[in-house]
Amino acid sequence: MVRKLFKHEFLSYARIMLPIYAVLIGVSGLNRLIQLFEQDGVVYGIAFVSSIIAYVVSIVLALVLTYINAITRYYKNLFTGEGYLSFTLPVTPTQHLWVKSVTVLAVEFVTLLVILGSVAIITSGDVLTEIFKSIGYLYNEAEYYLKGHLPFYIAEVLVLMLVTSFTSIMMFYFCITLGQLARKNRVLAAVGVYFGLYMLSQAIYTVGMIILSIFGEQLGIEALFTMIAERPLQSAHWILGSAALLYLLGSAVYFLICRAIIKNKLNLE
Amino acid sequence: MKIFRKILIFLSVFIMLFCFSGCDALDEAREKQGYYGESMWNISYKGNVYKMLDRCDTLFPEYENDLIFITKKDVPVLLSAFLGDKFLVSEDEVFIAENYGSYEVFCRADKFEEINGRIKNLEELTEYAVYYTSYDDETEDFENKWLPFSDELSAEFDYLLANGKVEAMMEINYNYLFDVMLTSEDRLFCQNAFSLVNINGNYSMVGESAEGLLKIGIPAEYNEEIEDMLKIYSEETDINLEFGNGFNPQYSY
Repeated sequence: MVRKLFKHEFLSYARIMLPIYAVLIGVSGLNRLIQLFEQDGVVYGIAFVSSIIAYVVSIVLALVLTYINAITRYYKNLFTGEGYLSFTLPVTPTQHLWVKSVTVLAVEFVTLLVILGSVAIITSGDVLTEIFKSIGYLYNEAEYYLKGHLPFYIAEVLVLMLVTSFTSIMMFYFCITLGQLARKNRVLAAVGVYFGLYMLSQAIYTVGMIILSIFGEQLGIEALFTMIAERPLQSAHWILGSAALLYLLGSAVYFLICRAIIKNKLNLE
Repeated sequence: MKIFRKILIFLSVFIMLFCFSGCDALDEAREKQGYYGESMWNISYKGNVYKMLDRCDTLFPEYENDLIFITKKDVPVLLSAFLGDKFLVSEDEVFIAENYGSYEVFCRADKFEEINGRIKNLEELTEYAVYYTSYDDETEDFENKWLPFSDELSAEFDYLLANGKVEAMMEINYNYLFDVMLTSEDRLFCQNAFSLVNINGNYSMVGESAEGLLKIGIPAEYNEEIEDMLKIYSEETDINLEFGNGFNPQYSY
């Protein structure tokens, strides 16, 4: 059943995202075609700049639509009339959440690949060759200065990107799930939860900074900074790992709360 | 099927056009990149080798405004502006100089012996001229020019600097006109000689010393020639010299 859920989720995303991908690839191809007629004239300048603007708008659209689709799909599928069907399926709330979040991650990854592909189209030829040369050069320089730590940094950053992406999706799901507890104006309530969450995080951050500035020494902050200064390369691993763990913790909290509410406090329209 | 094949062939050719086409911006960046040789004493730029000249404070080539970037050989062109050292190149591409700090000057290999020889032999500076910038209406760009003094007046300057009456500059109200440079015949070598000022209608040569400003008066018989030059200078630079150009070193900072 979970497989079927995945299939329908991906089909639903494909209906919206595939035309967007086609537009993005088309616009990048058009821009590359315009570049073939490169010259100093006004007409070329207008055509080139217009195509670049269209290209940038397409990229933004692709990225934004992924998230908008994720949010609307989660809301409609689980908390509106469709929810009556969704929750009659032999699928647990946990599985629902996993299917939705993993699908969004996969679609985000595909969107990123399509964007990279469009960049390759726009820069194809000499420029793309030079880009690869530059990346290779920078990688070699970084490897030399980072003394063997680079592959681990890359892996850690990729994991961190995955975890932060998952956390941001779960945060949106959390806001919608809490919002649906309201009797009326659920979407507005979800927006309110989002802003409340933002203000809470800012308050926690501010209080944390005040505590650190007053009790920093007792808490060993100076010792921490000394360790970072003495061993920067090793410390970076700790920092990246800790950040990933924190985000994972956050996403776990969101996930568990969403699951608990869906299980015990579902309030369908 | 035939139409499909035709479309495929057309698309393949189309895509190949992309792969083999260049980019003006990239070609420009390549033209602006040079490379350090085996040692930092040599540079290669546009297929020519440039060697570092002996240090010379009077070498004064005309440099282009646009910078070029000198990098190690393995630095890709897209990174040259970020990782390269900024250099200036002369209009005739004979000289390349660092844009900051030590001002090391490199000379193209075919001219190196000649120029380095002139530096080592302490090239004689014999002509007096004014260096200024004027706006060309035709090219719509600024142009650097030289306005030379006549041989007679130059000889008079030499005489006055060697034998003239040197006095302390006590006047507060005077008109600073311009700086006069002492140059070689081809203007490649030059140094600041003195400032020309007008004190109550009389022209004087003014220079700085440890004791302060010193002046040497210029005989009145040369006023006409100096004023002809001032007229040309004023027209070329659009600076009104009737009341001086507003700069009084006495009161600066």
